[in-house]
Amino acid sequence: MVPRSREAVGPRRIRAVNEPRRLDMKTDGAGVPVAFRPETPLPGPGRPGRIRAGWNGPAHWYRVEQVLDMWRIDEGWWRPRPIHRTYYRLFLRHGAVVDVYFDEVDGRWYEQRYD
Amino acid sequence: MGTIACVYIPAFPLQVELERRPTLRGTPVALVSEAERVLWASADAEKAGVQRDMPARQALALCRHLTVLAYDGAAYRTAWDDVLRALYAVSPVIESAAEGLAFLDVRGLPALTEGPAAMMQAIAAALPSRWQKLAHIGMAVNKFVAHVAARRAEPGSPRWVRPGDTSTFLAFQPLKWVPASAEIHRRLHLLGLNLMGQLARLPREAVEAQFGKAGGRIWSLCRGEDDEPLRPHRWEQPVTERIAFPEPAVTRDVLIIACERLAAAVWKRPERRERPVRQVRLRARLSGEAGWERTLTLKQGVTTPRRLAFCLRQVVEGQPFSGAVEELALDVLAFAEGTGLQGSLFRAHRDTKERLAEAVRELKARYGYSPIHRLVEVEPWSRVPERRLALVEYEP
Repeated sequence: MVPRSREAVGPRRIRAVNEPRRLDMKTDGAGVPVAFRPETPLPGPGRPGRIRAGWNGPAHWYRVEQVLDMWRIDEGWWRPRPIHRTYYRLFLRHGAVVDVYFDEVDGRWYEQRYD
Repeated sequence: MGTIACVYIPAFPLQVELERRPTLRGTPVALVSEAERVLWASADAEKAGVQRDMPARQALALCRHLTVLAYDGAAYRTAWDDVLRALYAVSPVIESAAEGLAFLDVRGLPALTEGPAAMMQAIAAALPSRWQKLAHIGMAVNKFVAHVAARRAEPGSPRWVRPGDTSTFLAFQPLKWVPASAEIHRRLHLLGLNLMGQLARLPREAVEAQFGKAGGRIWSLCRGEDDEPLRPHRWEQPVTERIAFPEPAVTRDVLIIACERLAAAVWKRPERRERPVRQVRLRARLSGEAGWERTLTLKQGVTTPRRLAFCLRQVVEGQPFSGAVEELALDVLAFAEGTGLQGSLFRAHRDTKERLAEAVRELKARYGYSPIHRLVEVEPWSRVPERRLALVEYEP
């Protein structure tokens, strides 16, 4: 018997965009971000931007000047992987604005643009 | 000498499930349809009172430890196709009467010259090893008698009914094995007719007077007369495209986008040869090994991928999936004969698209995949940022 020759060669994939990226965070006693270190360096001053590789040399700790906004999303509590996040829009000492969030499910911090 | 062989694997879908989940062996199991009615029940479940066509809720009330599984038609068909392929090694003419029931025309086959026993042994040996212990094999002069012989046979001990012994053999077989409606069986039971021999001894006219044309057919079968020809199995050779989701899809919007991509991908397959599509099957692999599929026959051949995507969208939108979708596949089962298509007046626009398509083809040839992607909105209203947009392979 000749195997079927009309099967597709490989699966086509749909890729997610703007996936969250891990970062190390230092917080004050109330859990508010004070400083963080992304995996790759931050963009320069301006609008909230995605952290991009090769921008400012190796990643280092960034001081938070001011918390501009804070909000929370809770979704999919009925699913196996619910979403419980607290987002912070941070104004950094060097002038950039970034969005980060604390994932209450896995207890880690992530960077993710939130327009 | 018998010329029709029958391979019978009782409760085939249930056996496939037990193969996939060996821990369920010896426990009550039921396969239920989308309408949540029992389609198959294991022997343990039947002992507890679970019957076919019973609502799943009632079955669970009767049998507290019942494992209820969704009927996964795609998986059973794949497993049955494996059996049929194996049987083709023995005979080129096979009828697939149902999943778990096949008839083989063994006339003139070399193995038959060594005798019916050798023929049936050859059939048993050809089966995939996992089915050898479960398959009942029978051989007789026609399909009906071969089927009854197979039901009487034990796995590993094929049964051959000599042409001269047919009526003797059938005389003591249960009448409930004769294919007829539930109402006819009920009335036969009320008349005290439980064996084929009892019915065969009655005058044909009397049986026909009671049951009409169906009665005549039953009477003939009980006498071992079955003139129904063997209908050779027609192999489907579908043109298949599939999409695997990085994260199981839980919203219809993702599935609709995937349907569009599948329709576009199928349209580019050379096997289509510019023919309109007449019949398609949409399959989904759901999380937890479950499956779903829907066959769609189109009244008129579809001549554009957009139209095909629209038809698929109707199917997806009206479908309550029982779980997150991990993979979606589209099989084109039938094409319509070619129809003339009006050419486009806007040649320049078409040229641009063709050039773009050529560029993507070249990139694919160089890298093995298309590095060009298109950004599509999936759930633009979502509060979760990564769910709003997605990248799909760009195909102009």
